[in-house]
Amino acid sequence: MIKAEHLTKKYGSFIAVDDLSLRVENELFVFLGVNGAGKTTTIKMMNGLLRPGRGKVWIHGIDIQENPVKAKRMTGLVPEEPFLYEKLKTHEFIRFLADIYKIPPTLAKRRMDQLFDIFELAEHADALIDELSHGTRRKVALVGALIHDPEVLFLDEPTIGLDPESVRTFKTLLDGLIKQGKTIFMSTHILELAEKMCHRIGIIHQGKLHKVATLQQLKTESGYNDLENIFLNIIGSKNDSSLQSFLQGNAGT
Amino acid sequence: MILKLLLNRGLQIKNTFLDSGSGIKRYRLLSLGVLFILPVYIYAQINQLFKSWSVLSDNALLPATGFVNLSLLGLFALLVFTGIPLSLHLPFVSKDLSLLRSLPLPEADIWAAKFIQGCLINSTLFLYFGLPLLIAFYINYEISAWFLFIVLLAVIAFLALAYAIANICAILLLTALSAQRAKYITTILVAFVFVALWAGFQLFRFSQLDPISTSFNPQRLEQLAQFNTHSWLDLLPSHWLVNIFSQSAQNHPSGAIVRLFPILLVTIPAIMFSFILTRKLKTFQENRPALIHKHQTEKHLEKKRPPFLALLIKDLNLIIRDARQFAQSIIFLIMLMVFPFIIYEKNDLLSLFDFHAFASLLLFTAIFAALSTVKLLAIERKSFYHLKKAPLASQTLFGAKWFTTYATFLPVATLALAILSVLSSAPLQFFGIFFIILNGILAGAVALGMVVAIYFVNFNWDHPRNMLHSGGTLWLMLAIILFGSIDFLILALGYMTDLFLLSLLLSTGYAVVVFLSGTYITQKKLEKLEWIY
Ligand SMILES: Nc1ncnc2c1ncn2[C@@H]1O[C@H](COP(=O)(O)OP(=O)(O)OP(=O)(O)O)[C@@H](O)[C@H]1O
Ligand SMILES: [Mg+2]
Repeated sequence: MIKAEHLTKKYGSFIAVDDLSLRVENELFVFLGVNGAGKTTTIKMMNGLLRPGRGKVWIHGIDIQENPVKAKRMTGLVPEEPFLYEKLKTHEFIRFLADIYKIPPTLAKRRMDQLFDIFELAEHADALIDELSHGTRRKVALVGALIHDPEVLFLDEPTIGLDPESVRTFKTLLDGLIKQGKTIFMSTHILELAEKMCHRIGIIHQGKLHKVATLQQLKTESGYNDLENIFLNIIGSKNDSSLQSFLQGNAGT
Repeated sequence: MILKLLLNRGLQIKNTFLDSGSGIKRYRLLSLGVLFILPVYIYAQINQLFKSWSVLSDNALLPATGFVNLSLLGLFALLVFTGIPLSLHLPFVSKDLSLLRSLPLPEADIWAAKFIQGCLINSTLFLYFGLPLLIAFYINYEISAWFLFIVLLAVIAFLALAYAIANICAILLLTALSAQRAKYITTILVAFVFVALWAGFQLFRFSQLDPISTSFNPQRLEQLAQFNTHSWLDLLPSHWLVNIFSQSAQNHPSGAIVRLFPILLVTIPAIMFSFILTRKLKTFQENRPALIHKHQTEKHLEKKRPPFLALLIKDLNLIIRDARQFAQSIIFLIMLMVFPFIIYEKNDLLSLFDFHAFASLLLFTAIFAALSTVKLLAIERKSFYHLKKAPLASQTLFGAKWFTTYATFLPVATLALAILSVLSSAPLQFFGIFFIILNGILAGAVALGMVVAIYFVNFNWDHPRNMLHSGGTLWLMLAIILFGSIDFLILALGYMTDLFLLSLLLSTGYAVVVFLSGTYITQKKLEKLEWIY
């Protein structure tokens, strides 16, 4: 369970996240918002990587600022850009994380083998992370976030760079985790993924949480039948006259 | 196009220096200023040498050109050496290659831009050691200004030739090794060459060449004067360069111009040859079966590893596999071992001052260890958030880093201490006492290193390698020197008042206090640190 109250973060005088309160429990919660809306900032605060200017976050009732060690043990995170230790080999990196989370070696080994199998990483197990492709690195990051079987999983745009097959695997995995009672908080720009998978959707715009509802609720409220229109409607679609003139200008030449 | 590529690179460099935050900017400029001291110092030394030779004899030009010749020969070899990892990195490994290749640029332009860039970087070495030499030579032999043009041309050719040869060597290596691997190996080799040179310079006494000095050896000066006459020198670019200098010194413009030809005639084909080889390498690599990654049988230890140990192993892996870090650690450790041979003095260790060699050894250990600690935080680079996210108390995070440096330096420093004790025939109990002091100083210095590392940590996303800028290093040195001096002061006071045992205790207590407060400050800061990018 994730609970956030009055979460606020300023960078200088710029308010990146503004008084955000939220409660997510045993569901796949999808966080939508345009670039720069404040999704990543929120996720970082929920993981104790940033200190909120105001407000609090609880993971299963534990305040992440007050008791970070205990709270962090229960969460897994795939950040927007997962920087991994490039000079470690894939299996060394996962083993490192397993040790950090104090997973017994036999259990860690079993999980690692299974996850490597699921994401077809076994052939890269002995390669330096330096040598992996972009998508493969993201898969490694995903495995790293799952190795300690966290109760709460934070995924910041996790499907970037994944091939269609891996995305399918990924979806099945998330479904299964929810059934096990886990909580998943995911930001994405892929509306189709959100439509298909999520239980509730939160829409953040200019740091403010504008809407939290199920897809069905959003549909009935707005009258639109697809998430793209619902989303653009809520954030207020911008003036695209420049786009039109650009296209026209190009057509003329 | 080539020019645009280079300008783009120049702009990036300008931005790192001038457009960073004002604090960082100050430090960068300051460190740039500090870097000027070395060439000025070298200039002063050489100038003095040349001056004293001209007082000594009428024909001082001979030993001077011998000296220049020998120095340039060494410099040329060094430039070729340092050029190899550079010419592996820039055109084969660097990260902007994929971008450059995707642009509609001729291959030759990219190659040329990389070549010029590499040549410029490589030639900074010349600014440090070659330029002071030339200036001293020119001033002492009153060479007319217009020769400068010829000399400038010759020097550029000289530098380009060294880099072209390095390029060719790099390509030869690439026929057998992957670029990453070759770069790793050659970087470490270069580090070894530098340490060897440093050790060599320490043991060779320049004062033998100095008529004013008591250890002046006229025979050496004669050898130096004779150096130019070896016929095998005619094959060497450094000698061609020296010929131009000596012609200018004797005011023979036509002689100088004629001697410009050999160097130009070799440099231009060498550059072209290295370009052709690069092309050939490409087809060679395309036709060769890919260097398949060898998969060792995975040996996953089934043993339990506490987080502390996991952190330690991770750090060691990161250092050993990063050529730069590894080379630097090796340099530090070797220097520590060579140090006793340079500083020891055979005397009876009667008065307090006779122990200054021991004190300097400890101080050097402290500085090296602290600098290594700073690096230990910097190697986290962009992956630092793993530590921030880890469910570990900050004591554990701090402790693992602290212990890594402490445990690597303690045995080496102990060995150095033992060597020094034997060389200065100190009784065993002195070794014991200094061993105790060493432990205290090392513990405190590493903790201070952590404090500085964490305070000056700077997430520079454009240059993650510079996540810790050099300004912090300066403060660290000062902090360590202050810390060490106070420690030695306590001990010296104890020695003079016959309360040495008490002062030893006090000094240990003092080190413990520094260590504990360092730990405390680091932990607090670590907890506060945000993962901003
Ligand atoms: N270190 C920083 N300093 C100043 N402003 C920042 C910093 N990090 C983020 N911001 C600003 O905070 C706002 C929110 O950023 P955030 O990364 O949370 O957006 P996001 O919703 O994740 O966007 P995206 O979809 O592009 O990932 C942006 O306007 C961004 O410019
Ligand atoms: Mg984001």
